[in-house]
Amino acid sequence: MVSYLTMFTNKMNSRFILIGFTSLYLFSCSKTEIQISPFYPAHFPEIAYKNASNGPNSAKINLGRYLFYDKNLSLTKTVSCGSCHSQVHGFSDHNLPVSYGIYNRTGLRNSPSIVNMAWNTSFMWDGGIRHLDVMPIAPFTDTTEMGMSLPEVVTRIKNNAQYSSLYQKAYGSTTINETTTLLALSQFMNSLISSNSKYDQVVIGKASFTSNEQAGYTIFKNQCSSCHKEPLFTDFSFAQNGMTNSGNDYGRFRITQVESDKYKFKVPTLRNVTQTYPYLHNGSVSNLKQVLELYAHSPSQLKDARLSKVNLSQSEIEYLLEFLKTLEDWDFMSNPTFSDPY
Amino acid sequence: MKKHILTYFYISLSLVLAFTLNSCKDDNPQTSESTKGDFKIEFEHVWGPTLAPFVMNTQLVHPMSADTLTVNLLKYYVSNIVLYKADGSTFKVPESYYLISPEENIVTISNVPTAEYTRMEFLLGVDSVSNFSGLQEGALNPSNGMFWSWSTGYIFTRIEGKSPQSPSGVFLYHLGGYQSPYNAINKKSIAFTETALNIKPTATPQVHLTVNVAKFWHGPVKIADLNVIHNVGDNAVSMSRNFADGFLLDHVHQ
Repeated sequence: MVSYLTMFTNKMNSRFILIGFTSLYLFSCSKTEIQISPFYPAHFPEIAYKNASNGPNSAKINLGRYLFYDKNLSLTKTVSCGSCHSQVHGFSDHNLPVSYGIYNRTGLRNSPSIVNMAWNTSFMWDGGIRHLDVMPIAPFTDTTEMGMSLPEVVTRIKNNAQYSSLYQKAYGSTTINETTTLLALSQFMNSLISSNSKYDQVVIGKASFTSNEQAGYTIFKNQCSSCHKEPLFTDFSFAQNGMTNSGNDYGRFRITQVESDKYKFKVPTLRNVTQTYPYLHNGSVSNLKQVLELYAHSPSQLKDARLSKVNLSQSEIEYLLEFLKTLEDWDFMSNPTFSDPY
Repeated sequence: MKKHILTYFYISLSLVLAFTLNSCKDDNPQTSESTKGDFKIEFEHVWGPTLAPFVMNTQLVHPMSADTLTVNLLKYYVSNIVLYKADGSTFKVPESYYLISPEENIVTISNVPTAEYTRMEFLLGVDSVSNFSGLQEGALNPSNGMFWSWSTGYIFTRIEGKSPQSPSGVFLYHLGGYQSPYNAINKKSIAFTETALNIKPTATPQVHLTVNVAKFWHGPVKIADLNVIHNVGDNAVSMSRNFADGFLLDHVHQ
């Protein structure tokens, strides 16, 4: 019965979207674009992404995928989005504390996971970016990442023959510009939904936790979930986590210039957290157990008020680790439609 | 059976949605030509209390600080233009976002209802909502070099150049910010005191404003003390306010 329901749900997805797009095709006015409600996981809240004219579309998602993995869109033709956001690591970097961009230049912060983006209210560790449609401008133009300008990105795409049919399929015309490019990247990133971990299966009644996982889940709900709020495992707020080795990186303060935001960073999601090591905004902690031990024992004065209430014994840390492992979503990390097409 | 019932439910739902959301409406209602007119706004860039012509790429001396400087880039946003009649009723110019520079200093506003307008308001900068509403086209296209990629929002005013008083030899002010406490948007109100702006189908009147570029450094602001602004903050707010003070009505000609 359980597996039958899964099959049904999966079928439902494609059927609903197919019917939705058919009706769009049949009835749309030439001038008006409409938003199709996508079939997001039933146990997730409403999405935060706002762009009525960029509702999910499989051809745009596919175009976005080709752009996401295209190294030619960096100055040196060596770095793509996928270089620092690797599927097998939940779309964070390959075990690197900070990522390497063009000419092996490094930035200050650990590549965050690209997952469940449609629910995010802001982007980057400091939340400086407030809309997914403009988010890729930052890595494209940052001189330590891809080192381009938007017009240069568009020119590289125009010079690559494979793209005219991809844009044609996505937009019904071969118009390649900043907007069509960035919207397709949004489409791909919004399609990166992780909602099929063991945790999710437990939530929708298709599986149950072991007794250790259940013990970890109880501790999680008592001590962690006020920041790492279910089911997205972040409340999208900014918090000082007690790490004092931020150097010149003031986090949220860089954006707001408000003193009380110094050293605050965005609460990261914990989805696939076992695979996104190393941890914290600067990748300074190499494994999850150490993170929990820091939170349990760090004497720092910089802690967020909610974090200072964390009180974990060594055995509770072990239970928590077992629970966190249930957030692994291998369907997500092996889904071929999310993978590098080159 | 439950499967089929649900399937039909979703089919019906999506069809209903498709019909509802697709109902065509005319976005551009036709209005009689004779009830509309155009006007232009000219931004004439000047320098100092004598309102001398402001010239790019030419050495200038600041009237207050006596700093010498050469401006090689000046761009700023003017947006949300509203026209007022004497009775207080208004006409909001739709989608009014303009990127002004000494090279592109005249804008044409079309389709304005015929009337006599006695006052004009506009924002120096971009309204708060448009800063974080995602991708925009035209003047607000992020490729115009007036968009902060790392901290979503527009650079409202950008002025760059050289000065021997600057520790680095150059100055660069990127002024923006739409959130408290560092809101750098300034609303300007220009009263047409002597000649009203008379919109009619048969003429294109022009509002002629002077923009005093020296006001950036009013106070005076010494370039030696402040040669770079590239983030929100007190400096961006005060320099934006200074600049806004430099906008004055010269005249309206019919």
